[in-house]
Amino acid sequence: MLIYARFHGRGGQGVKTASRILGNAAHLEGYYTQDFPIYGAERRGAPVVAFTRISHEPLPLSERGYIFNPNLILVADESLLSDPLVNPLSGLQSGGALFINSSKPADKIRIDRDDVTVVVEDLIDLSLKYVRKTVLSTGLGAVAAKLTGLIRWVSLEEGVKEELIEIGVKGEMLEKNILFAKVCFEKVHPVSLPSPKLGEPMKIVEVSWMPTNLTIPEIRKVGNTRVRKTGNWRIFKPTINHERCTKCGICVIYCPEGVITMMDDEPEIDYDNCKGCLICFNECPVKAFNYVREVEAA
Amino acid sequence: MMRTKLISELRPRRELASSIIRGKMMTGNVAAAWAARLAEVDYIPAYPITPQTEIIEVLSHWIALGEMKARLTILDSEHSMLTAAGTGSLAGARVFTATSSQGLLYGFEMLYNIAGWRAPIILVNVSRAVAAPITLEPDHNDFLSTRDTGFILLQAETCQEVLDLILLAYRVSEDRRVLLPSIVNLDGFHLSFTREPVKTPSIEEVRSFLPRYAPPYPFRASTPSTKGTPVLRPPLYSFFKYQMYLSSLNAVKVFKEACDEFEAYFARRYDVVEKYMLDDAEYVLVMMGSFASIGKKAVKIMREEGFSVGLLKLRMIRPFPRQDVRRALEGKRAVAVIDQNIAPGLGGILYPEICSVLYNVVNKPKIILPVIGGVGGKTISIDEIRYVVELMKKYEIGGEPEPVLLFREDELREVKSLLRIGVGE
Repeated sequence: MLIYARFHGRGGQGVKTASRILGNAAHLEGYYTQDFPIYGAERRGAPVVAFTRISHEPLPLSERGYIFNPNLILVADESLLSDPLVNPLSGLQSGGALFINSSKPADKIRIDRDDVTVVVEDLIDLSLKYVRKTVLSTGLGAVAAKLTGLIRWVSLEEGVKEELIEIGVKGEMLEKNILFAKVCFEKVHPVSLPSPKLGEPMKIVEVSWMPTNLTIPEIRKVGNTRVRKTGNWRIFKPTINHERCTKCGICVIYCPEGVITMMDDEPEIDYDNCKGCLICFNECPVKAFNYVREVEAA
Repeated sequence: MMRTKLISELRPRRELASSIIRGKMMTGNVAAAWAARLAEVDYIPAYPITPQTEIIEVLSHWIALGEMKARLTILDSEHSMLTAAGTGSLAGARVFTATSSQGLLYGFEMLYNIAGWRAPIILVNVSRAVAAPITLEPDHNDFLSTRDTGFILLQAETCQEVLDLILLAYRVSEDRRVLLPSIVNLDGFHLSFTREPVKTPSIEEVRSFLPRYAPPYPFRASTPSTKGTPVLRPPLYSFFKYQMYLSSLNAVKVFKEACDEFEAYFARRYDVVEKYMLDDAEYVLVMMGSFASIGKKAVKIMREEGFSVGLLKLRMIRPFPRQDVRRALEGKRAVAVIDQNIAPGLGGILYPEICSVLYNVVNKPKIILPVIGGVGGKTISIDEIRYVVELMKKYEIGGEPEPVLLFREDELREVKSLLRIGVGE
């Protein structure tokens, strides 16, 4: 096996398509590949993982499922780095590479590993510039393909085309995405990656009977959703111009997350949980809402 | 940091090869849809359920584009869907349908009917563990619950096998010596949503391998008949059911014949079982489905370390290929059956089946170890398979093995921490 790539992102960011672009480009290049996403019950914004295996040996690859010991990790959303449930760096092999999509410079991102190559680019910025959208699939796939050092532009371009046509992207939008891919492909450089090896051996344990108060699938501790902040994957942050606001309350009614409330007769946004869908911005009859990209807002 | 060579420096580039020779990247679900398209099925009654939905989405897309001529109808449940499938087949159509898990169980009583009517439909099941607790991840409890229905049961390991087994299943099911429906099973996520290169044969080749379905007694205005006749005399029921059993046994031979022909057409070799590094092995793992890929990798690693290990993959589950399994396992020191299912009160479902094949054999393995692994999609790591081999050696010296669950220390730690959060203790 040459490449074990693992992509971390959020539903809707294009992580699955990115893993497929890498997979198909490597396949077209002549390697043997497998790509695979994991998402629970599908939901935009929820953490998503996708994988690409690339080998020079014929199929079957004799490997399946989650990649525990990747030599290449791509993180589409910097906020995932600090999410303990996602733990995107877990298992990254020493000497491997980590790509992070972020608007921050590399030295401003805290990574607890000094034995891996870190590459940072602001793909959202590039995506907004070339595609006028915040979907990363093409750019992330292109970055991954380039980092491996295995894939030529001809194969990547063909891979991007096939994958996007399959999900219904065509015409001018397809051209824009290919340009986006080209820019990303040229922006980064191949990194040295260690040959994948098996992870540390794990101990096998006996599972014995436990009292049924613990072993019936029930959640009896209630109210813990409050500790889960859902606002950290916001790309655009809505703001309210209180002078223009007529306090009609339409934003409160339309907000799908219930995070706008009337406080002292003024609408107020709970930014801990606002996902930045901008329905408030679209629905406000007097245009009292505006929005800024999260980097500028921070 | 140590300077290692770029991986690209180590390997020569290959030229872009055509998709006909190297296949096209597709999921197991899309491969299943391709098989239905290439088999030129007439009728697809459908009802959506994760992780099967993509099969129906792809087929309905092709039909909308005019690339496929079949009639696709969304029914109001899996029970109606299977009823439509069986009756459509009796009317003379080649029928394809697909479901998963709860959907399969919801339509369950119709499975016995379709087999009893001797209607040779192909049902794809995309394995998903059965609730409760509810999950989307796979194991084989849904698929194996159908083992006494009269369906021919086939299990795929790769996306290519999904496509190929469906074509083979039509050949076997529609053969007059068999005339029974088939379920082709693929594991949710690990095949359904995983893409690998799959070679799609040309429609002309498939037409020649699998000619149009010629129903034995189709409904025609000129030749009326009663299907699904009630039998009110017990000997009749007993007779018909036993004939069904005998016909199902024929499926082993018919499948092998079809495999020979399949190889001549498509250059891929299949059999009712698959042996991996088995012939000279002393210790054997019995597995089925996509996790057999992981088993093969473990076997390869352990072989390099000097352990005499091999793997037997079950491809046909019904009829149970007793002779092939017996021949593969007799004379071995120990066998471990890794059941990716759980039968409360018993252990694994396949374990007693393997034991029953070996009981009357003179040089039977000294130990047959019951193992449960990969339930609800839990991964099986190389370490766990290594542990299974150690257990076989341990019991070879003495002791009576009880069913053991494959579980890792880190997984148990995670489970215990989640239990604390959920219960608040």
